[in-house]
Amino acid sequence: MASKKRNFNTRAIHAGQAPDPQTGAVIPPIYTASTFVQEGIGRNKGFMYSRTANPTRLNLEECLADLEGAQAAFAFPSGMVAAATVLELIDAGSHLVVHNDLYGGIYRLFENVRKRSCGYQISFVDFSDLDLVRNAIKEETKMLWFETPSNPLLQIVDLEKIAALSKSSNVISVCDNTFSSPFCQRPLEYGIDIVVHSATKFLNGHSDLLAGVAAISGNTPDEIVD
Amino acid sequence: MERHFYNAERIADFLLENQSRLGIESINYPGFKDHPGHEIAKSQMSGYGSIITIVVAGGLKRADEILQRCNLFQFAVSLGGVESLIEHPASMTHAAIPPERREKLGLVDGLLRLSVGIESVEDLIEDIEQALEN
Repeated sequence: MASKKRNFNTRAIHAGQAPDPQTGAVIPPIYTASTFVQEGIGRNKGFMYSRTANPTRLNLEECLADLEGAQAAFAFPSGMVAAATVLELIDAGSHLVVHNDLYGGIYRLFENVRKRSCGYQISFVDFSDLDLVRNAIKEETKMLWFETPSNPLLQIVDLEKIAALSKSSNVISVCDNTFSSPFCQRPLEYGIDIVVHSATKFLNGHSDLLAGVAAISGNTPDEIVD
Repeated sequence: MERHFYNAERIADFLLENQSRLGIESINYPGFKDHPGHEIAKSQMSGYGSIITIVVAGGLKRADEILQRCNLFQFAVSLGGVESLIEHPASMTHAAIPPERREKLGLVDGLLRLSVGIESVEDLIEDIEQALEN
């Protein structure tokens, strides 16, 4: 891509989607191989096994990172998998402050699964009320998790204020951006640490696939990126 | 996306103008000036998304009838596609939330969630109107 940052609509069409160098195909091919031939020990063309890296998924991730203004983006088989993976960043027994209005599947992951399997302590609060969020943060709080607009009550959360609160409290902020899409709203630009999506929704736009995304801010510490 | 936003705004306005005639108790759309988060949404979003939620009078029974009468708005979970969808959060996307908690949050049995697609907005309005006005 050119060094000058192009406008959003242009990037949506071109980011991560350079023509195929081998054939000149305008649309990059889809690589379905699970494994890649190695040239020698420690030598390959950048790929060893598709679970860890796959050229097609890298194209998608490059595009999504660009659109969200992220340092990096990671694609997953569903939004639920993206969410579950982001939760691996925090230790068992952590305290989280979580939006009380959120997708039922995410609620179930927190309340019915992770409380039991990871011993999470969770305070569910209305994130459209900043004082409620501030008062719910404790010394052992590790993460804030919210949606804006929220599902299904369409509460709006102030991204800039939540980002400031997460910085001053030294906790990771996670915004589920599914209801907005990066066209409409880019939380990382307001200082939020991580964006997750069910890419099955606006990012796909045609109800014909399942996918998820986690995009991380340029300010995220390297150990989290790794 | 712009067509999504445009259609959603037109439909939200239509529902608001015809609220009592169509038996709607409340309409939730961040584009409305009296939405509690409107000013924040205006400052941090371009457009207000294409999701609208409404609470219909008549609870579960009428909600079910409306969903079955919808044609263009297809009765299915998910959202954000070019095709319009309508669903019932209490029994579908949010069924994992215990009933007493749903009630407390306002996630009532008459709540319907619309994902507005990019079809002709006139056709969408006609569809939701006939589904609601019976």
